[in-house]
Amino acid sequence: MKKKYLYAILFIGILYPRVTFSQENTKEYDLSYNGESETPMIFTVEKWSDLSFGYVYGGTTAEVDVDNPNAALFRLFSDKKGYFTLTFTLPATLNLPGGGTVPITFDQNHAYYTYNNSTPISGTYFDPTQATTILINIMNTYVYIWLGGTINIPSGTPTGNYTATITFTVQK
Amino acid sequence: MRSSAHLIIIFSLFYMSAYCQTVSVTATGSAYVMRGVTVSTTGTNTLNYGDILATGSTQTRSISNANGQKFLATGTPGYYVHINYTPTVTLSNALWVAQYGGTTGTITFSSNPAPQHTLGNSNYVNPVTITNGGSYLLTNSNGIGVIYIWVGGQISIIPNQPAGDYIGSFSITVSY
Repeated sequence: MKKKYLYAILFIGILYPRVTFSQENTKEYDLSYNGESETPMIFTVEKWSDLSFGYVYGGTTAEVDVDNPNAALFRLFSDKKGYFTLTFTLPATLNLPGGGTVPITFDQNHAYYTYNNSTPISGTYFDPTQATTILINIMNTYVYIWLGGTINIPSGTPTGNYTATITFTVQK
Repeated sequence: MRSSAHLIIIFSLFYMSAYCQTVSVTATGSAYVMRGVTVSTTGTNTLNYGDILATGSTQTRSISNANGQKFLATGTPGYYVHINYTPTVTLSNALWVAQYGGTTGTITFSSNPAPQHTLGNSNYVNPVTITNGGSYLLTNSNGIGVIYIWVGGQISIIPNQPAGDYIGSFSITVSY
């Protein structure tokens, strides 16, 4: 009986790990890469343009739509398929150095993305105040993301150049 | 099989952490707040020629820019504005005739000499002639861009000009 157990343990010890790794590892590999080659993912995010409201006047409202050349534009590229989460860190005000603020708002009518199209048509609106997950299901895809917004300039707002930082984060 | 499952789980965790990436970029949101342009009359002088006795001869009456109508234009300090004006204006006594009777007539006002500005100085000091449609700097005055504009002009009264109050409007337009 002891010899039988010993042989059995040796047999499993020699063969089992080899079989397990060769099978399970391959399976895991296939699921994760969707059959693509085993090269590092190329995944880039670029800012193409800033969001500019231009010259505005106190007591007025100014809006930049996504199809306005003054909308912010970002480009995401991935050479692999997968889900990507888009997140904006958005300011509540544009600020004048030395004092003065102008409220700025963002909503789902002022954020838009397209696949492989650098003009904002045939795309999808999304809410930039919430994290948004998109799927890239074709390798080597560019995603273009536009961000507009609305500002309300109170009467009597001091003149000057008001700015704020918009952070765009993409997580794979 | 249990140890195999453990291996798969450990391998999967390692794999996911290796390929979970976050990339951030920043953009700037901006707006340049401008002060809207206004223009208004200021000072005590007006373009009022007073009473003129019509005679059998042509008469000319003039008001210098210094003693004429002063305008104040405001906007964003440090910015330029275009100043346009109507160089000639037709004055009419039609309203007066409608009320009191008589013969209607007209008098032509011409902004001659041309209007002048004194930048942010509310006094008539170092005046500069304004070219119609020209571009002029708004001087900072407590955060407000200002320019003072001085308008005089002359009128010609023809022989036996019909009696009455002759009224017309001189327009000056200031824009970015």
